[in-house]
Amino acid sequence: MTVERRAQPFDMSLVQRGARNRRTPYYEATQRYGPEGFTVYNHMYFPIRFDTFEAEFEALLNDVTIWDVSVERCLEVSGSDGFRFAQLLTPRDLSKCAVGQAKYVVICDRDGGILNDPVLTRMDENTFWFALASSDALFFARGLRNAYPDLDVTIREADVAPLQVQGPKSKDLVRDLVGDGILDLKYYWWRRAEIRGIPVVITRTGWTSEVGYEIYLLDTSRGNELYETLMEVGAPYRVKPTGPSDIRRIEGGILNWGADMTYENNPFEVGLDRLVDVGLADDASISIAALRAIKDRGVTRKLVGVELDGDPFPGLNNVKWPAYRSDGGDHVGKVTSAIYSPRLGRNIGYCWLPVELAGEGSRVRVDSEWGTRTGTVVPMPFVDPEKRIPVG
Amino acid sequence: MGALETAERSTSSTLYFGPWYRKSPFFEKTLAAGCSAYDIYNHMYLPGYFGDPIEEYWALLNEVTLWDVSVERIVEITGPDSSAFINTLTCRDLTKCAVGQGKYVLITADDGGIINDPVLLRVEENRWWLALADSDAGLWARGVAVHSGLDVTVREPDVFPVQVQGPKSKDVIRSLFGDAVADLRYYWTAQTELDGIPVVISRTGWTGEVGYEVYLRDPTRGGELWDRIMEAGAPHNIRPIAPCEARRIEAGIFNYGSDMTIANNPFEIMGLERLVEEQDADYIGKAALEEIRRRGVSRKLVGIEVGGEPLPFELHEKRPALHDGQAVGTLTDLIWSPRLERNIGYVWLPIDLSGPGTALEVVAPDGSRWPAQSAAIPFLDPRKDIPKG
Repeated sequence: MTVERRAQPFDMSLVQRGARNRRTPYYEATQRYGPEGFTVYNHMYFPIRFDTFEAEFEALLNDVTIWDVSVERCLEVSGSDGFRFAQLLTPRDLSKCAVGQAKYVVICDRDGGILNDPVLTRMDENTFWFALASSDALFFARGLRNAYPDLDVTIREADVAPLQVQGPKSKDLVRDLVGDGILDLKYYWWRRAEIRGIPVVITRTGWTSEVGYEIYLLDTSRGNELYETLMEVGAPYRVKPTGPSDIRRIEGGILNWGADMTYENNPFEVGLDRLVDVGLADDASISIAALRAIKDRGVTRKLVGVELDGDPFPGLNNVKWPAYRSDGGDHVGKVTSAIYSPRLGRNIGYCWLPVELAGEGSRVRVDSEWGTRTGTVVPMPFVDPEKRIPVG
Repeated sequence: MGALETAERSTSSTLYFGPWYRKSPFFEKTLAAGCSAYDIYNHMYLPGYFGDPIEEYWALLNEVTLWDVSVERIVEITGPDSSAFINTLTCRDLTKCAVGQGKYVLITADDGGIINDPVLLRVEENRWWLALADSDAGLWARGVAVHSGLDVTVREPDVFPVQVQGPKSKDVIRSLFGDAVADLRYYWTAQTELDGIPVVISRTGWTGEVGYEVYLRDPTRGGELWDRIMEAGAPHNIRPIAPCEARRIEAGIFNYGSDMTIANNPFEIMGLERLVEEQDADYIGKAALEEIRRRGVSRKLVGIEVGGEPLPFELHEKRPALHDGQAVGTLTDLIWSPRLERNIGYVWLPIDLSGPGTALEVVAPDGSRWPAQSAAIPFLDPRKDIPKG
């Protein structure tokens, strides 16, 4: 079976003005599969929709999807003091991350504010990759580095481009590409490989909460070749080019930096407590002292899961929605992400609320772009809280 | 990620809207004014297309235009040590920047690479604003602040500029804000208000024409401010426009991310050398830049003129430039200048080929070759007599 190639490449003149934002190494290949829209992320054009939300969701749940996430620009920290410097950036204890392993981390400022939330891979003893969400965290790292002139550390953007291969058939596809050995790769570990002679790093990570891999292309002159190889080898598994599945990632409680959290927020407010190791020494990580104090003091607001009543939302929210006290009129928070989950049969999302209103069962009134709704606080994630699916 | 309803209706916008990017306080007004395409810039939507860019160009040259540049996100530096701190961020000597004055500055990295090229405004003694080009220079400033030992706060205040540009902009600003504001000197600022809407106004812009930027300080009142400017401009045929790439390239104005990045230093860019000011104070990148000043550079961004038919739009991709059939450089921008009646842009060249008049060819998107030659920057008005006027 082959995937239908639509006749229409995307007319970039509709979104592009000048050459300021870059195209990805997979650009020409993705154009052959009819992307329906783009956004810009880390100064690159990001194809984020090839079909309906529901069709992309079904493919992710049942088959395998490929998603060009070259926009996760890769901040590389290396040099003989690479470990020390990488640890300054994040409050997660990196001594617990072995070479060959990966971790979800937050990069935090000295006040504990979240500047980015990348997946970190430890490439060797002193080399780390941070696959960035959409903010120039490299500038923060380079700015900080000025205060450590004696450290032997190099900070640069690695010329690599990740591709997400996600869904239950992703194991079959990746096995067919690089052999049975890859099936041993554990959740949040990585390995080097070659796909038809193209050098790659394969990680057992993703932005879906399904079983999946990210394939980091190491020779960015060969992106289109890699993409087409995946389409060809994946054909028996009904491989489908997609954008991000906001349905699945919200079900899985995955946060989108810039929408769900920004510099103004700390990890304890957004349920990322596990990414803060308060036992780190003050001089090991620039945010740890502030975060320890926040933990002791407690937070005043939280990002929590909400179910929103009424008709299914026709799409993802376009803007953040204000939330009000259900018994009065006070503006108390905002919904940052919300979408209809077909399998749960409910509208689900995330809402910022004062802690006194953040308990399960608490209700708020939300002015959505599709009418006024009642939001009820529920546990998050909405599906598979133990993460058994992606680990599987 | 539903496309915005209005955008779905329009014929030309397929950029997806989502909650991870901000809309400007003028966004609804730009939609109502017919904006049909948006770009993303500093995590916000930048109006990209209202109508024929050539008509917009002539409106800018002959009358007055209104441009939503809220995407020039403001990084604010405050605190008792803010002046010392800001002076470590740029190669310009800010000990000469008075309260109320503005400067075009470069934020430089330790190796002299350019982090951003904002307009800086000294709004108060210890309140500095950087109106950013498209990069998170606020993150750079935060990184520097961590161990600076200086008492400063770095944040993004709710401040959103619009540009009022063109020869009639003085009349518009005079009718709204009075003589003192209209007669501001080039690169000076004033704080004022309009119907209680707090604003800062600077005699700056991205056009090479006479013009102002009006910085809205109450984002709930963007629509009102927009309407007042449009009303005051009506007698002068004011119109909302997208960025006028032809005019800014004529003027030798650069677009960060496209023409230059952190991989480039100011001595490599024709016209920016003067911003590396010799000074007593230390700043990040000083040692590297003074070394580069002595040693010289191996490549330079200069002007290029390309013959042939008018390009309908600015180029979407950087293109190779050839000399004697060999690839020698990269074209970063190219657009038709209606008044020069040439396609003009910028090109990176090896230093020995960077003088004006070098014969070049550009490899066009369709693979054909366009004859071209290098040129000096700016293409027009090198003494800035027009915008100072």
